[in-house]
Amino acid sequence: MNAVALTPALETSNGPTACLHCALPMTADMRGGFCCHGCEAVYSLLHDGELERYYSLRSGPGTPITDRPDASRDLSWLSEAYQDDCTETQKHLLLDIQGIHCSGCVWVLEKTFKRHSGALKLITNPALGKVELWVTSEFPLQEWLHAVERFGYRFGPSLKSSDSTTDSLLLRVGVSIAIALNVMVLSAALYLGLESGPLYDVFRALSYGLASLSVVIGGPVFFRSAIAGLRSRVLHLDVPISVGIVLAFAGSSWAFWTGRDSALYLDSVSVFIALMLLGRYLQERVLNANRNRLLASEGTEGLRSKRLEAGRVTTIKSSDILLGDELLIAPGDLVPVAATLHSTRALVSTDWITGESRATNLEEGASLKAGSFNAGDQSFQAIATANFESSPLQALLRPSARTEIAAHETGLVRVISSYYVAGVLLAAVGGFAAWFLATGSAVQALEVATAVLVVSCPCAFGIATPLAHELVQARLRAKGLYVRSGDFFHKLSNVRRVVFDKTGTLTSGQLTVPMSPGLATLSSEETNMLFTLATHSSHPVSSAIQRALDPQSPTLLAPLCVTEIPGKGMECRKNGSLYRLGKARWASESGEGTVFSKDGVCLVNIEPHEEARNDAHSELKALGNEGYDIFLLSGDTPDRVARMADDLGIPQTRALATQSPTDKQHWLSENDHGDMLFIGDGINDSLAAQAASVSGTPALDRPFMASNCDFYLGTNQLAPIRDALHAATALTHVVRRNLAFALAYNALAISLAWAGLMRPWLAAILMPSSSILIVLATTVSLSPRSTRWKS
Amino acid sequence: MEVLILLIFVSLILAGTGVAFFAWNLRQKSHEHGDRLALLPLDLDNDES
Repeated sequence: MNAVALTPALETSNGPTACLHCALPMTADMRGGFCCHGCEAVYSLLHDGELERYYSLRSGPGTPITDRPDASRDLSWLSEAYQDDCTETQKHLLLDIQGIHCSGCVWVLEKTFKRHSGALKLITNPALGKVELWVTSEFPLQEWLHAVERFGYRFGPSLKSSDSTTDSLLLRVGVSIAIALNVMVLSAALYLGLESGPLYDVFRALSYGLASLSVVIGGPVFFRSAIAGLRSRVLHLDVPISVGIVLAFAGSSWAFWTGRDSALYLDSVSVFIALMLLGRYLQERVLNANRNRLLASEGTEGLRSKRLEAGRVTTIKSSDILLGDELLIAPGDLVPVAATLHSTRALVSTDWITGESRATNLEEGASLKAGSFNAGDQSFQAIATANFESSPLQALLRPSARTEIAAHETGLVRVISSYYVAGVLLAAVGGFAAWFLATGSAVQALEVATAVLVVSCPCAFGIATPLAHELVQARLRAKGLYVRSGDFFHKLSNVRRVVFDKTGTLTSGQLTVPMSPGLATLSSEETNMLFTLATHSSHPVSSAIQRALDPQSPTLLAPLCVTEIPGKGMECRKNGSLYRLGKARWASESGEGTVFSKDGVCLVNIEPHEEARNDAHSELKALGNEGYDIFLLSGDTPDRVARMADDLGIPQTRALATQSPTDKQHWLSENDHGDMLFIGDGINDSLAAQAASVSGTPALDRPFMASNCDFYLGTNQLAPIRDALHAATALTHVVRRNLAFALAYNALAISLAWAGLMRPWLAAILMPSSSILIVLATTVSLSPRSTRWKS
Repeated sequence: MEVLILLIFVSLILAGTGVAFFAWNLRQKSHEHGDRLALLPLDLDNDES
């Protein structure tokens, strides 16, 4: 192991300003050097496992570990990962992986893999989010997968595949750039005085051959898309690019075959094609990379359940569940269909489907909703009261039917594209007509028309717009926001209203118990007893009490016999006194909610709150100050929604409670006029996410939600949402300015062409210069130091 | 002129070989796991030590 090189967490007199694990900025209310519990846990794991080198290999900040990686997830899908070439002694598996993003991640995977006997070969593919491994039968596969998942990664069945379109695009980009550079060198010789002789003939013929090859290789990318657009009566960016390529090449071909070098623009055609391809590749690569960071969603096909058959547990696809099936629901498992509880008791959470934040204790015979979770630490059995076909999860997990539009087909670019095509054609025809009428020479008139077609360059759309998108997305990625859809920024620039779900979106999903005067005045013996009672229960309120008492360093009273009374709470006897922690009516004669009592006398009334995300208060306030209307749409009870709205400064009239998934969908359909951004996390938000103009999610633990949204958050903070809104505004300004620049350039270039002053050498200087200038201006405008990012 | 033809022929062969290598490299998908390939020298370091 080489020398330890930790991420230099910036230390100030007030503590670190960046998280010691992910290196993202810390806010004032974050304590202990970490932005979240997950980062703290993974930091410890990496140190305990002597894997600190991860920090020196990682390039830039890491990803916060939003889910505390302590649970071992179900790997029942693993049997599908084995490839056909497996033998008895050697296994070959292909898996999808989520959360891998840099060399440091790859190194951690390889290092942990090689530590086990039976490890043969591991290939990690961060671009695609896949791992391929070869192991012998003695390799502890499940143990390794669980160990890796504890670092915050997630494995899934192999669903993602390499995008052959992007691969083919990369090949085209490489060849086109090589051709463009060669044609430029050959053309330079012609411009610098090579006017005759065998070398001249060869260079000229080679230039034409290479330029033709460039059109054959690069053209189809735009031609296919333009034809498809025209068929569906949409004039998007690929139409002017295609028109530009075809007409410029046709004009140059005419000049080549008629020997008129004054109209031979082969280098300009080649450079133009290479630049346009580069822009297109940039655009596709970024979106693919963001999509591949997460596991793919299988919809309902990805759900697995455990069915009891003649006393044996079998893992089956949830879609195979039939009425009357006996199901085993392990801790953390989903109840896939409506069912009846067949065990003595169960702690069940429905926050995923209703937004209800509190888990409930149920007793035998109680009804279980499809989509609820086992929130306890014991498995329970349930009898299915419906087939999976009638489960509401079918509708909620259905993939989005929204039509995705690429960035080059949106908004202003689309409008300009249509005018551009008409404008260029008009300028060319006008130039031809004017020169023909003035000189009577069709040849001279054709030269002018060719010059117009060549120099009227849509570089501003073709290269500068994708570059601007790439710069903005890179900045948002660094902040933890990943864009999935091509038209995201266009839609976001229209947003004036932001709608949040509550549980898991505005809140972290955890309960907190504030240090009330009652808790603070407990004696140390009583504090220790409360802590001991709380540690004996897996109920979320007990976990919150433990966290609240942690700073007081309470002692666990080990030899005591703590009894759990189902549905009521915990109790324990010490020195003749009976201590209880649980429901008010059971624990004491007074108090409400949850009570800690001694001999029936309430010692402290415990009021757990939902914990809002660290920056929820500041971000919502900032959004309000910037003129955005904030709404809260939750499935939770009215009192909790009202309390949260009050806490976060959202007007009560804009806080809607007890909203079912379809209520949310209808509300958005009625109120969203293309100006709403919806952020939600649960399955109960999936319909709303599809109905909203723009949607995002902080939920990465289950891929279906992110796959239905325009973006996802890889951080515990809400700040990137406001950053994205600023980015959309900045991007709109930059795109508009680039278009203005393009207009000015084209006006100048077309004027020169009309005046008969345009020459191939001048075009060879003007076109790349304008492209370089616009690329530089875009880069400077969207650099981190630019004021355009500020609100 | 003969020399030119020879030069062009050799250049085309070289260019063709370059394109073929580029295409082969893309088919190997090494651009998708560049992070892993970048770590190979570290393996050599560890083997030597």
